[in-house]
Amino acid sequence: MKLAMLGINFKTAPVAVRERLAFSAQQVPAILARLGELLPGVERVLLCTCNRTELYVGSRVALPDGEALRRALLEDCGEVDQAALADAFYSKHDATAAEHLFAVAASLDSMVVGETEVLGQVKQAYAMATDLGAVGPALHPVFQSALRVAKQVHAETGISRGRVSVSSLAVEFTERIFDDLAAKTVMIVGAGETAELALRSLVERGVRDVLIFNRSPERAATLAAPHAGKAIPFELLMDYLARADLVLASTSSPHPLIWAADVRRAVVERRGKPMLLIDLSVPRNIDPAVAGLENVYLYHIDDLQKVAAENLANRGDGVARAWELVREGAHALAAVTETGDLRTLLKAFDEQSTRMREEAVRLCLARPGLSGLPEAGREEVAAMADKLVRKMLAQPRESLKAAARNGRWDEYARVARDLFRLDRDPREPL
Amino acid sequence: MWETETNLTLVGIALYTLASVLAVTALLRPSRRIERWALVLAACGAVPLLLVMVLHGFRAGHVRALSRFEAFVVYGVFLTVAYLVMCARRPRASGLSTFVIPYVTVVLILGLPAIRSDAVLAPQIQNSWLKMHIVTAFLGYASFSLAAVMALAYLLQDRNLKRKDFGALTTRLPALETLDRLMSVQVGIAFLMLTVSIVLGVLLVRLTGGGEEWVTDPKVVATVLTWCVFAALVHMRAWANRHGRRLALVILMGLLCLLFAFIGVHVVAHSVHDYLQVGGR
Repeated sequence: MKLAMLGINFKTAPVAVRERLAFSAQQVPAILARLGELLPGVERVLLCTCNRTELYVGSRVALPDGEALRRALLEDCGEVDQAALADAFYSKHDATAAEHLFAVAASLDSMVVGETEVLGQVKQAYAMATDLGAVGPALHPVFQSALRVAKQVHAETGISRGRVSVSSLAVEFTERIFDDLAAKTVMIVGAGETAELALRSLVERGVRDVLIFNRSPERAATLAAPHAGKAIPFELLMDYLARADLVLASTSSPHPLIWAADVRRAVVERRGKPMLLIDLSVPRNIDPAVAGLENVYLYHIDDLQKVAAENLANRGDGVARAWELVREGAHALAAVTETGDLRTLLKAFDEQSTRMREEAVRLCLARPGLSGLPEAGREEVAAMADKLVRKMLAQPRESLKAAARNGRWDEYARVARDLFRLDRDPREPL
Repeated sequence: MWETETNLTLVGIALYTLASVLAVTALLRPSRRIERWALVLAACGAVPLLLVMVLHGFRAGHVRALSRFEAFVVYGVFLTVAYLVMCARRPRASGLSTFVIPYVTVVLILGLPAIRSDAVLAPQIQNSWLKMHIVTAFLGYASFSLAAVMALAYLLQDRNLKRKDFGALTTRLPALETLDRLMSVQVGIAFLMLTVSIVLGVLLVRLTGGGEEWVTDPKVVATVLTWCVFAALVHMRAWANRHGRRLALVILMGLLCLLFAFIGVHVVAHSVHDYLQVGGR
């Protein structure tokens, strides 16, 4: 079995290059079909995510070289600067290609190590190619092992545990305090990029009531529009404070905008309902004394970053273990490919037994007492030897077929080769 | 007879103990599966205990919560059922198992020495009003205890969030708002049950021609005091719309009152309700 891969990712190519090769799910079937015409007999899977585009090919016979693959893939990209792309591509073969796929599926090669999205994307790419009939005996075992190993990695290591981005952590903090985000009012003070990202995550989680306060009303309106928020004049900030369950502040103001006295008034009005304030700005926009108020929870960007760092550190322990699992998986797969598939093994089996039988019959009939045997007798001896060999090998053949079906192929094939010395040179005397 | 009941009780307590171990393990090693098994084992533990109460009831011919053993078992089983119902409706609440299940287990073990006590009731008060009186009182105790567990969780969660401690406990406990809402519901139920129970108790006294000894009975006085705390809580939440830490603190105060009215009274004074036989027999 031959396996090769070719691709670019966020480490080797900037987004300007990657977007030329970012094929949509609608484009992929056509590309796979065309690659099939260009490279007859080659199995292929195309994986496209926003961070990578990778083509995996496999075959029983020889594979085209990396250059040919690249040319075939780039045909769909229209006018591209081939020279600029040449350095961005990487290609890997056989065991290293398999290991690379395993690492990608297990999210060890991702921008945020441990994210789970890429596993779904690999699954989807594999399913799409399978539906098109582009996957056969060479790629099936590779992708199935990759998916299995990735699941094992997520289950056995902590690499996907804990959130790491500031925006997702803001959501996590919110969820510790409130259970029904749809009924909550979020107040955004300032229209900074971090606040916008956090707001987007919150809206995805069901937040519907968004109030945006910004010195520049135009900017507030721009931020409010996509999230169905309300842009409110900055001067009214204090009037609205008691309504806010969550306050996200991120402005470039050099001094606090929200003071403890303001929040105290709001809390009294809220009758003890909890209030969460997240201050993403440096210098701080929310008076630190707010943290001392009852039923008020104040977090600063450093608190979020501390949690993010802890989560990342926790993942770090898992990463080494995850790599171990990936390597083990790649080895197991290599073992399967090395032992060859069922058909080649059974063929070797047959050839060996035929040779042994013919040799034995020849030696037997050459004995002095039997040399005068009539033709019918000779045929009888040959037939008997044939029957005997067949009968003896019937059960091992069945067992091998069963092993191939129930996933124990690997060990059975190795034992069979060993027991029958199938890898010996056919010219060697028996 | 005693032997069957003792064995059933021990099986129940063993299951509860196992459930407690799992519930505490779930805190140290967060896992949905362990959490679920803790709930299942607690539910399985409640079954033999309920059976024991049915056997007791059949033998005596009326609903039994007379001896300390019986009272504690009924309390523990009701609390378990209330908790399981809550978890079924709000799966995230199952993080509270770490508190609820060990608490019930301890209560059951404390009741165990009194297992063979066989208190008897004056026949003239054995009627269906009494059954209702007992059942509602215990439902009230169970609901309020559940509310108190959530109040405790609220205070712990509040402290952790303030201290920016995001350890296993913070992750496993439900959100503050969830706790706030669930404990208010339980306080409402407890208030309703205790009110009904008190009304039924007064009715019973009237029907059976009881006298002043009931009005001045320490247990009655303590229960009325507890009822006042419940009423204050219901007022705080339903009419004054109060939330947060203070509500949780008042609920914990209410639990102290409740435990005094339920058990403490029998330790420090004699009551007409004196069947708890605190020393066991």
